[in-house]
Amino acid sequence: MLRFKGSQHFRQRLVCSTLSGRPIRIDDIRAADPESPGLREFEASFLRLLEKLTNGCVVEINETGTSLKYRPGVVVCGTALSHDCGTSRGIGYFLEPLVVLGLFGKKPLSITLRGITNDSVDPGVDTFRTVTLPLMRKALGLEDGLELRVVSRGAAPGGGGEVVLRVPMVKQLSPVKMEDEGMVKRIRGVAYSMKVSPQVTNRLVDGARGVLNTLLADVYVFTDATSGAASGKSPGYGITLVAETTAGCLISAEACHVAPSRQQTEGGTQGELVPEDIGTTAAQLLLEEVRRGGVVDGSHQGLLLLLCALGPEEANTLRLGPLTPHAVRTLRHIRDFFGVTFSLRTERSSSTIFATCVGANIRNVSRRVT
Amino acid sequence: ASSFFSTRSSDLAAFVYGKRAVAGAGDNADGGSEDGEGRGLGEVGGGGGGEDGSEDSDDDFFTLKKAGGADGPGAERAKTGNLEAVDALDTSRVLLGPEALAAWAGDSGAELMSALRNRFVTGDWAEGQRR
Repeated sequence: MLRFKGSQHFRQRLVCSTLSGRPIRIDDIRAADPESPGLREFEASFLRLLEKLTNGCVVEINETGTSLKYRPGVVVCGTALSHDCGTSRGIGYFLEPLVVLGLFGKKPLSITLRGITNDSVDPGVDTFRTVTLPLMRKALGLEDGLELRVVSRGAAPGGGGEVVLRVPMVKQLSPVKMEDEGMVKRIRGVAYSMKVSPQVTNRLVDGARGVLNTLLADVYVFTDATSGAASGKSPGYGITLVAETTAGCLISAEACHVAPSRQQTEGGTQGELVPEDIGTTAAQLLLEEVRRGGVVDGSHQGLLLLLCALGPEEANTLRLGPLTPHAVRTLRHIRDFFGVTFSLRTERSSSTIFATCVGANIRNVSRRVT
Repeated sequence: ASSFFSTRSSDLAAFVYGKRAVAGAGDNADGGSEDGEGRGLGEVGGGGGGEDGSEDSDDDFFTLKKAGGADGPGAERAKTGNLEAVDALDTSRVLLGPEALAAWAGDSGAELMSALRNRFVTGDWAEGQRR
């Protein structure tokens, strides 16, 4: 049994535990928080989701919720599943582990998720649709079956969005080899709004274009101004930008309006931003990601590293920008669960990292053998 | 601006794997990496936008936890950059503060952009392919 401390990387620990078949115990979950120690609503929600997808998993939680024992079961998945993600975290929080777990199910996964589609903490559904899923298709050579459909959007705090995720099952992953960054050839994006003037999306695009057009003319941002049933329960707006390179890499950044009531940044500077400013922020974030380099942006490093580690016993190679704290924690978890250690080689001239590993060759054990 | 990233090169592997992410999951790594680890963490913790001043690099594991737990949920977000914070916010997104983006505005922004020009197809292809 592997033992961990604290609430960090909660989802990935459970996913790794399920895929490696090793039970885990997590202690001291927010034990130092005097007001509300223990698991939060979204973590409990994720455990319930995990119980829906697997057979025979055992979850034990102590009275205060600060300790958790998890004995993994068999991943089943299936169709016509649904889950209410609540409003404490975005749907992106649940999608990230689902796309990895779904690959190793007994049946293909098709699930409806309800909640907040875009917020400032978790990756938005647009990032998922336009970057994460194409990245997985490219890295793993999946043809079809991987799909995310946005039925309706939902902003914080009310939520009310709905998405349908479909993930195919695989026998085993194919090796990942992504070394060429290429040059940015075009920038695409989505500016969305819920329950506000449709003009807001155009203002978001203006803000982003103002920054990006000095470098590149080929900038096109789609606008998706939703209203009525397709716009959820709360007003909100934001923008997702994706830079496509000549090598086919996708680098993304997003920014969205944050309601001042939610204490996001101290001082509340982000709350008073006008749509143009949010567009500008997203564009600057995108340039920052491009400057850092690598075949993926910072928020996809962890996922790609995990896919490498789960891959076959061949060399998996990645070129990454400076590692994010999330990626560093991922690397440590990968070593703890699968015994896979990456060799990290730095190229000084471009300040990028070449990460190479031999995969743990995780096979889909629950898949029916015919 | 890259404060949230650990750019250390020579001792990167030691920085990543040198210290156990979890206490009790195994014994500590070899002593040789201790030095590199300390420096790497100092860079990450110290550059965290000034929000986590009290939870700096050399703090003991347990002291650090206490310091973080004293304040509300906002602290969890602030701790994402700190690798040893056990209750760090669980998100893959790169959450950069406004101060990290300030460099992209004004004159310094124009400089950064011209430095970035060769990463775009509108720039010099020969320079761009060299990477």
